[in-house]
Amino acid sequence: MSLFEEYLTLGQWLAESERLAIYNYLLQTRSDRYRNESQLLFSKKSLYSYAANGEIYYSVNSNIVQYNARKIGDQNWNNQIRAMKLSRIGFLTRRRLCKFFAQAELDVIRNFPNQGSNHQDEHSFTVNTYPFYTLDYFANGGGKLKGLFKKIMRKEDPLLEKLLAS
Amino acid sequence: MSLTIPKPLIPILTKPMTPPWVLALVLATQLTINYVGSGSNPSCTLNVQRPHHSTYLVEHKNADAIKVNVKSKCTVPQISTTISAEIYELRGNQSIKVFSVKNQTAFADKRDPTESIFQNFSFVCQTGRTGLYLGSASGSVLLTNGKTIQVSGNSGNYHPEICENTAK
Repeated sequence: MSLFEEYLTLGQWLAESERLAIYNYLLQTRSDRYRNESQLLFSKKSLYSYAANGEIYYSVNSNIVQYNARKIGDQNWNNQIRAMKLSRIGFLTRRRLCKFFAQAELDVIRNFPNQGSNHQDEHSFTVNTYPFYTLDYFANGGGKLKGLFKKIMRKEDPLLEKLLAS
Repeated sequence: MSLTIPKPLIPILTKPMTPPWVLALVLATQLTINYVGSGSNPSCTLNVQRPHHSTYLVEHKNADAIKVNVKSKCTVPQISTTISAEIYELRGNQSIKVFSVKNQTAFADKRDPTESIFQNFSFVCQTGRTGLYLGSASGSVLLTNGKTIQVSGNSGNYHPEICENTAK
């Protein structure tokens, strides 16, 4: 089992810094896949994807992309988890979509982990209120300038390096 | 042998004491008060569980952690609850923040939409060490009617917890 596969089993045990490291890992290692998926999503207006033990349904409507999620095997989808307005500029849209995909997959990894050694208690679908692709996350809602400053000053978590090396 | 009922008792046994329309009116008034009461003044509470020890496996090693679980519960259905949570440790007379997480949103439970459950706000503790811990959380609940209710809570007094598996 690789280190990344082990982290796919942690679920609710994932710490904040680990979640951010996994988000960056997904962005760096799945960029080609995300670009292909963004083309598919634009042509078909909807897309199904998988992460850990969860299923994701993306849809685009009036320049808004959103996703719903469910545990593999469940009948019902969770209500809309996140939505993001898309830019009208092509390459910006693709870049933003890649970040949206990585965030969605991370949310699903956190809530529907693979079966592993760690016990997962019953819980609600839980996410970071501010997604990692916004400056609001780094500022905790305290403004974009503060967010930009904190993002620049932030040290990369050593887990990202370990994941990339594994 | 036949049973004879004394005459003065007959009206009491056969006629209702209170007219039915009065009973209906009282019942309807009570139902209206209950409905309006719960509809206009929904309330929510935040239950912060006592911080307790738990272990989990990460990178092929067992990690000891102190964790706290939080649950919001409302009298009406909710969409989600957003909170920030902390765990404090009492060292001497000083309360030290040993864990903090901000802006976490849990969506309403599918089986009971009046509640949202957060699990495993935790930090890795030093194995064998005993500390006095208190959990605290605050935030808001977004109800399905669009209203937002502020909530806060804590786990009560500082409670001793040893950072190791004491189960036999």
